[in-house]
Amino acid sequence: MAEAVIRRLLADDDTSAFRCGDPEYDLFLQRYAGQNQDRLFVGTTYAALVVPTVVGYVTVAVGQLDRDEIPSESRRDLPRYPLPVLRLARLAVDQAYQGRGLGRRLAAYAFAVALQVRETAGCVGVVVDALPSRVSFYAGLGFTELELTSGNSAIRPQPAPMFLPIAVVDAACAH
Amino acid sequence: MTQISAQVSASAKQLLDDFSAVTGLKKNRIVEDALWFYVRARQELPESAMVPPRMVLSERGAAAVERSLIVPPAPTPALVRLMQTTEPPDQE
Repeated sequence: MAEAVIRRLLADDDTSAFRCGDPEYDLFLQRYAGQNQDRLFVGTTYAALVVPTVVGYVTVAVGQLDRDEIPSESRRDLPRYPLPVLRLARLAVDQAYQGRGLGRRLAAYAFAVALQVRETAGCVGVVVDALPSRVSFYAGLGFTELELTSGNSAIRPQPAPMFLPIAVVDAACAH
Repeated sequence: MTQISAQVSASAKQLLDDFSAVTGLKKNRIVEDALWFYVRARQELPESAMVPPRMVLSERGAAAVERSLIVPPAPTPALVRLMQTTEPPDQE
């Protein structure tokens, strides 16, 4: 089976045969990922391709962590809110390519994008919307569950938002 | 023209003030444009296709995030292995 290449989703990429096992993720790729990216500018999708066919994708968007009440005392060691983050909102792999490490490659690619965003626009960490079946995978990478009062994903089953500081990703690359 | 008023979070007001100062745009123009963009996006996308850009932390959640930013943990062996095999993102 040919090795997939990863790059930004293009309008001509063939998504019609994509089947990951969750029709909602298939529909998102086929109908909404392109317009999210190219018309509404609310998220970017990186596709894993066996050209011209998309066999996996990861969708990321810039976001921010905030808190309702900013502490009144000014502590120099506290980060300044809102905190810019890169949110990994969706990741899916075609059933024919599952079990070959492609999901891991897509996740790593998104983390590398977060490192770029840190340099160009600021980014303190990665937030991943982890499906219940993937929480242990991301926990193994060092992600911890976030307690949010709003801003949860509307995907069902509801993913768990998990956070990893960008400094940890950077340290992993430098190892 | 008509007038509206709304209760918003302190950070939302700060965002509006900062963006207005940086761009020179009047605040009413920013609010009106943002509303049109938002409503248009919501009309074209189902809720599940939207990625909420703002996540509000609980007090306990904020404390945990702050701790991890001030003293980041060491990367796990699984993360180190993952990032050693990563290809650089394209530069588009």
